[in-house]
Amino acid sequence: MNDMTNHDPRLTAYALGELDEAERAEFEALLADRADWRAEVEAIRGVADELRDELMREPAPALSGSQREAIRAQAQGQPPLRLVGDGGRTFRPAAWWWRAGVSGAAAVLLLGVALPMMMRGRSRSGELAIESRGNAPAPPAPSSGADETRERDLSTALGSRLEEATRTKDELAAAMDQVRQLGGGRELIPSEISEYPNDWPALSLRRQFEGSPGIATLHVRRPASDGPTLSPPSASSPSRTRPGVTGESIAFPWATGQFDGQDIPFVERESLSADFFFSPDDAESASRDRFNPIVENTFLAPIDAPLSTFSIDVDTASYSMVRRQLREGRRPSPDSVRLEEMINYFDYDYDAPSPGDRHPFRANVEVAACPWQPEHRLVRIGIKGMEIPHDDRPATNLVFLLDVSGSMNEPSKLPLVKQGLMRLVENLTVDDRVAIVVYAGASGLVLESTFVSEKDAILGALDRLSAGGSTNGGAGIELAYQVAQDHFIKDGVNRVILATDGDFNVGVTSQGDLIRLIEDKAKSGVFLTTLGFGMGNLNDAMLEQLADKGNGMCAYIDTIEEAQKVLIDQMSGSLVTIAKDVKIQVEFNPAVVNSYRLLGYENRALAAQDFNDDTKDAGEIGAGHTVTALYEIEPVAMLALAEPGLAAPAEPSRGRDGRVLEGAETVGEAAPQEDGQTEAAPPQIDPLRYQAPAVLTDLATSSGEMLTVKLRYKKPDGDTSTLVEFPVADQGKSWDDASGDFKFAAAVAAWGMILRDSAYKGSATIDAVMDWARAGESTDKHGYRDQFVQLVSRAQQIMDPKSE
Amino acid sequence: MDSSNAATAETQWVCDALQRYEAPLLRYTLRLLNGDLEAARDVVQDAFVKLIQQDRTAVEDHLAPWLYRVCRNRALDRIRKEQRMQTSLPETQHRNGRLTDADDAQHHQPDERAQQPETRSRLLVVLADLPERQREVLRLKFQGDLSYREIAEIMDLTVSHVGVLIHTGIQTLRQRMSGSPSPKRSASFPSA
Repeated sequence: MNDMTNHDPRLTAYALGELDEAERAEFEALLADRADWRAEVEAIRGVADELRDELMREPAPALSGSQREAIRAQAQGQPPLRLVGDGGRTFRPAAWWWRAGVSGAAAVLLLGVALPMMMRGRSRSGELAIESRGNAPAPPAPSSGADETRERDLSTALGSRLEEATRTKDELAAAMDQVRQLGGGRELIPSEISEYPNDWPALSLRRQFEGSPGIATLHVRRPASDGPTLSPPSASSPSRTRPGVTGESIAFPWATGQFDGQDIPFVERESLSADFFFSPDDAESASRDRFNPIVENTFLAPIDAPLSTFSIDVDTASYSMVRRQLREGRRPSPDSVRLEEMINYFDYDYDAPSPGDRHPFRANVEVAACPWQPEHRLVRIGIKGMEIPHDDRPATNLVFLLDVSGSMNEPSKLPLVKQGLMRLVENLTVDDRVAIVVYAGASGLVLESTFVSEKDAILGALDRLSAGGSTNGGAGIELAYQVAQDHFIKDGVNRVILATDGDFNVGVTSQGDLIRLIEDKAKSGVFLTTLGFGMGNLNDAMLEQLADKGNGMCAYIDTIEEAQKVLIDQMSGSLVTIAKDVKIQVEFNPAVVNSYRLLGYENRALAAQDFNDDTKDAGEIGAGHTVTALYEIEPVAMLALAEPGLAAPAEPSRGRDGRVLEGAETVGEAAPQEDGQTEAAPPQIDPLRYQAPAVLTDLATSSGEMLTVKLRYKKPDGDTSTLVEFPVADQGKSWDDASGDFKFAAAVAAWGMILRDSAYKGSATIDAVMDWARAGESTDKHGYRDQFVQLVSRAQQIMDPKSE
Repeated sequence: MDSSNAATAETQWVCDALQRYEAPLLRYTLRLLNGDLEAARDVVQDAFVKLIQQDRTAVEDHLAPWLYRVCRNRALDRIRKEQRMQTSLPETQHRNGRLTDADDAQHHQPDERAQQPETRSRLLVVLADLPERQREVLRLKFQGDLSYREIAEIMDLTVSHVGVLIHTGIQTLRQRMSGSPSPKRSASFPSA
């Protein structure tokens, strides 16, 4: 390409017909002598045509039907009316209002006052109510009886005109004068403007224009005798549909109805993509945060489904994402709330295996009363990985695989990545090594694997990174694994740390291809950590799956504190894997357990036969990591188990030991049900015609055991699994007697269910969650639990307390 | 006070505009708002509501740029507000994707692109790599079918600046599509 010829923008302007006549004549004169320019013009036209074709092929999004209707309705306005102080422009009020005269004008002005206030963002509510009470004369009675309480959508154009009309003080004063004259000197005072709290204030970020023209639908009701009243729409207006989730995300409880111990509740793998993608490649960047839908586990009867099998999950991303959404003033998208990740975000003080132990982790089971469903028992299975002191950490070979595409160019993304990784590097030792691979439009090795003894070189390379370009995740992953393998440390830590907003839109484009690539690479013995950054187009589903398939963990980093937690405080756990493919299988004793429900781990469910199948991938556990799983158990024959003399059904808030449970004040009221059954219990089915009921073993009836926990795991470099098995009996612990860890985990789970608006949340309320969490705050090494309580209280402000 | 004929004409005018510009405006706004469809819809709806309030004669002769401009301003407003609420980091950086041209000069190796199997929308892939402003003018030009002058009005630029942006954008697309390595970009990574 001849650089000398193509710098003149007139070439393109000419090719596109954008030159005016004189310019064109002049340019054509030049062209006559320049064959190369003529060729250039042709080439430009070629690209232009191709680009036009491509762009026109992008799907065209549309307004919603109701939006289009609203515009049409407003366009068909009533006869124009000149508004006080309106500089001669027009607006079209509803006809009846015009007839309403004086009082109508008063309300109009009030609206004018209120709207700008809302526009300043002081209020997050999308509605306001204005009532004028007192002695204002009733407006002339409407001619038709149907007008009695006619409800009208106030033209939103009106709001805007009013807002503009009252923009200056003078205009406002003039307007108020008019009102006073018209209204017989009656002054409208601010206290007459009341705002209704939005029942969905989570929309503040996206919806802060809620009160602005074109979005808010103000319903105007005018009772015949009481002057004009502006009241909020009764339930919801079209403008207040819940955003926050791309696409619909509804839990389908029936979807798991087939679960019989063989079939696994199926969780949609397809990400929730919106219908407005521009093109397959741009699609990824065009959508918002993507969360896979979660189909909540249901209660299952051990008679039908004796085994519950799942893979452990040490990911913590969900909690950070929920926190981020709440801090932004939004109600978290239900599908971003993964109970197990919420619970596992926190450290629990479980006993770690002693140095001589046979297994690299220790399991710890606790059973106590279920706080949100006092007749139920809550089983906490806690696993604690072997702790590795910082100094004993094996030599580490890290490859940072960093997304530097354009979408990372936000304060909460690349700069945070750099900061976090710099801190990590500061905490590595001189024998460790770090390489940096970046990917954007293309991928490249920014820093060859370098010993941390040359820390400055590493930090410098990190510091110089800048974002730009689109994302070719696939090539970057290939390269990163290659570098990790080139410097593989046997018996050491070999890990790729991927930091991205998950916006893969170039290269290996399909999710399936990427997953297969990762699965393949994981066999090399290199582990993977995926760190999600930013919000807006975070592909959470993808990151979690990559970590899942890549023998790794996934965390979401929204603040430098979170980076500190994941990368430094829990460095050993994040870097050193002590067991891989860890699976849990719980067998329930039908003599004790009527039904059970696993909280969370929906997308970690395994088929019962996968437990013993060593080719089936499962979760990894890092040094010092804790993994917690909760089961809610509906016991059999509660009456028989209750202490004699206590009428259990009438006293649902008593534990099996008969003592009143703590938290009964909050949970007791909602609980009583006549027969001790709960709504969540599985529906009764008719007796089978061709099968006898299952026969219980002697152990079922004589052991008193509630369940047996079986664990399988592999050594980090091993291929065959080891089985650990232990039975658990219910000691009848009350909520009071439960450990702080137990209480805290239960609080987090209950809160997650509230955020998901789960059908299983029982009597859990935000207030109760705070009580339970505070009761469990005793062990709080890093202050995370305190932060949790803060966050819950923040959520309470955001979510209408009345709705809970 | 009533004149139904006038009302119908008034309605028709707006409905025609809606018919014609709804999709293009949404496509454009959706881009600006990073794919947030609900937000884009709100912005476009707002624009039409605002249109209703305009004196028809004042906007009719530059209807398209007027609508685009309103959408653009509202979308950018929204982004600014959103940013103001994101207080997690003290830095005052430019928003997502708002790259400087200097940033964009990096991270490119066109020959790697050539190895990618998908040729169908490679042009769009390459387009996605251009600096934001170039992307925007190219989309306005070829998707919105707007003239340089109209684009200048929408984006608050001079006509000649628009010309330079479009020219540069197209030239870059050509180079990257043709796959010839550009000497400027071969040293593409910060470490180099």
